[in-house]
Amino acid sequence: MTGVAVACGVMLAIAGVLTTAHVLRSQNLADRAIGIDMLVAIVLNGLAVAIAVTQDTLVAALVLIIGLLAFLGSVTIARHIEERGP
Amino acid sequence: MSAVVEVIAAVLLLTGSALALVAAVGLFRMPDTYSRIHVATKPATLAVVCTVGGAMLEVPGLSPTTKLLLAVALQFWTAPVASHMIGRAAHAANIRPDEPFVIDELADVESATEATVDDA
Repeated sequence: MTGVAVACGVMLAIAGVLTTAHVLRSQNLADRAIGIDMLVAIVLNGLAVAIAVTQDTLVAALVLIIGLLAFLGSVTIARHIEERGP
Repeated sequence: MSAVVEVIAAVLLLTGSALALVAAVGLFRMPDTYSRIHVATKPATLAVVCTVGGAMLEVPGLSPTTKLLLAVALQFWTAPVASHMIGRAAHAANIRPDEPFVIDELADVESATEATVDDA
């Protein structure tokens, strides 16, 4: 299980670095919102892997809360772009 | 039996992480905002389902499993809505794809709202 956890961690870390680079280099707000949305998805994946490895059941509530917050954040950014432009 | 469950959980965790990595590469490969939205929604649903499913198999007890199940259901409801909102906002903010739209159903919506604003 440790090997699996390390492999998952490495893949998710690379994905996180690539997504952050995309957020930094993107030209408009919509692209950044997409990148941040995906960063949250990667964090959710990391939390799930952490739950599987450590058997820490408290983190299960965190997955729920962060998923909800990500949705609210994305919708707020989308409304902002619609009203003010990119 | 438990060894089989362990292997299934490991495969699910690895699949989800690999999907997230592929999607991150896709952000760089895709040419415009709309195809990047398409790429970025995949880890938000399928990869989260895979990794959380793997975690569900590993964790003992009903309470955390229920929470994780609820998280997956919530993600399935909200991720497409959020992506759709961002896509619609990008259209409203005059972001256009590299190749012109084949069908642009929002064009009517926008001219209609502009017309009502002009009337008022």
